[in-house]
Amino acid sequence: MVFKKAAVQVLLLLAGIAMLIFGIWREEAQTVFSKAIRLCMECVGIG
Amino acid sequence: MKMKKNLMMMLAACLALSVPLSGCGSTVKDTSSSVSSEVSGEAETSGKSSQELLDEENAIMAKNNDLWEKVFASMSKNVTEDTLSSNYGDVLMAAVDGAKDQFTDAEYETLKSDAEQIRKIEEEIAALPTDSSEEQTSDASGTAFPQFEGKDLDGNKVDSSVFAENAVTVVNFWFNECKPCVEELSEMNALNDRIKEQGGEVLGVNVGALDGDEQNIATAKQILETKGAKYRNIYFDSDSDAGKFALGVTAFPTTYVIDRNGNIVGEALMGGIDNDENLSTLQNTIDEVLAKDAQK
Amino acid sequence: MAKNKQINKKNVHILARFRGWIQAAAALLTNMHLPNFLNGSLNRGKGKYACVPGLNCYSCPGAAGSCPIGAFQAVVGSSKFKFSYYVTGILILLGVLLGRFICGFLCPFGWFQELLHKIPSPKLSTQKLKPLRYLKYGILLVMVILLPMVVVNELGMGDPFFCKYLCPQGVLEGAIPLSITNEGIRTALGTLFSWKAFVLLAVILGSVFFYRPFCKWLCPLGAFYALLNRVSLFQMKVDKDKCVSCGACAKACKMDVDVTRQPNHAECIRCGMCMKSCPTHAICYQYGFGDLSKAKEISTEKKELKK
Repeated sequence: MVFKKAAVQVLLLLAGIAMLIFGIWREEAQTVFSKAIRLCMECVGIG
Repeated sequence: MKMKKNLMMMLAACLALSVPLSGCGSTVKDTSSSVSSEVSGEAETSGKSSQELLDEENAIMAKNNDLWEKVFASMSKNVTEDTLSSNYGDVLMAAVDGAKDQFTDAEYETLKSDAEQIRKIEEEIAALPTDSSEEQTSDASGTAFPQFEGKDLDGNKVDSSVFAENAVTVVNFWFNECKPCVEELSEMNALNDRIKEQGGEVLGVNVGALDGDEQNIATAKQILETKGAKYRNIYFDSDSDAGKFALGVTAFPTTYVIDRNGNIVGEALMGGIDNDENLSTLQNTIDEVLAKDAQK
Repeated sequence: MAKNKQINKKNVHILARFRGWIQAAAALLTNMHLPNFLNGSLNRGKGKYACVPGLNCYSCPGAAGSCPIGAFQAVVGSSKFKFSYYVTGILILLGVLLGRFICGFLCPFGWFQELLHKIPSPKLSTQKLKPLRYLKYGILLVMVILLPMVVVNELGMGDPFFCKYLCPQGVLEGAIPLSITNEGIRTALGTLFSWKAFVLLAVILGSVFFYRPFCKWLCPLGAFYALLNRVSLFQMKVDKDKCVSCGACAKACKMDVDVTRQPNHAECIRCGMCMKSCPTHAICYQYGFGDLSKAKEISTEKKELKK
């Protein structure tokens, strides 16, 4: 049981890192940044 | 001990929250009363700048927006060159008289009194010592759109001299990831087509394209094409005055109306013009600039 | 009596003891660009490439980083992407490393609700409202993932449905402070703002009477962390040898968790109120891989050695 939970944890951490890197590689972070530094009126419910 | 800690937490909370919370109440109030407070609160003092007085004029007209729209629509037909005098209020008065048959008596009276108020404000503006600066390039007034040297998305040079070529220039700030910005592009294009005949132009500024960011320019072009926006979109260096101005734009989309002298007229319009209310606000400012330009 | 309390406190983990201050510090760090509140501008720093752990609007003038939920919708709703591996990766990492500890300690909106709950009033139990917990998973699935992905224009751009129509944090941190300093934004406030101000008001009022109603029932970020709470490295342990089954912990838990039965329940935000209530100090934090609910507690071992 202890072993099984640890395995799931390690697997999830690896998956998380992999997804993170893949996301950065295809420049998702740029999109996040671009939207985060500017106020998109409707997007936060102004309008 | 525990009580004390709780108390401290509450205090910290009050500090942290007092700003936004107190604003909540006042914000709602502000939106409804901003016009009236601007007019009544400062009406007695005559030490107002020409910009403030112009804002007052706009506020007066905004109240009877629909009626004035009709007046403006009739203006080109009924107002001839010789009826134009130097006072905008008189121009409006003449225009109202010219279109008298389109209104009921009550409406006619409202328009008359509005025009009278505007005539008085115009007189006040004329009496201002700084009056002349409005006519010039007015680099000191603070309402001038910064000088720029930039390019359109195809690489052709565009600079601030475009303002002098047009009676009115509409500058629209947007960026690729902003959905409301993209949604209004086709409306902007329609606006550009409409005001072209009257000597106006829409200029788009894609803030992601500043400094010639190739990837963003490519995306912007694709978006503009899909949306059928054919008017010019420009960019400049981010460290230029206009670049700093563009970076200072926080809310998107934001639209400015610029007159022939390169001055910003009225307040920045925030929000898309695919919203009817925003469109009519923008159209009013444009009409006002066009009317004033015809006067000269 | 006072002495008893002192001893009691020492046996509670330092994190739980200073939770209020940690929450305050986290809220401040998340929104550290304070001067921006005065001039009504947004922080444009590199920090916004990354996501903060809590629900904190990136349109807040002071925000140091991006809101994970906002960022996720921004990517999914952009013309270039249909899904955000970047933000999902960050959320999985945060979820496994900390889980809902983030809700209890690091989330500014969680802190906000807790502070409101300190306002004196009759406090109502949420025991009978447990089914509402599942609402947040629906919000995560529908408003954060599906709608921005599916309801798109000809360019493949979708609205950030959660931010646009539901998130009260966007109004509290974004719309309100910005509209105070910026007249143009003030004029732009319309029906959408009215609706969201109503949502915020409802959450504020709800928070006075209920403990963290938004976290329990609505928060999609909390929902994501909740899914990973069971496998999070940050864990709770109930020492069966010390436990006298008095039920004090379950009574003390404001998130309605039966602590002894499910110490790592999806709703547990690691606030430590159960630890404070336990007469035998049988509950403690554990951090590491594997199921630590049966492992020996390190801190008490040390104490026993000292004795």
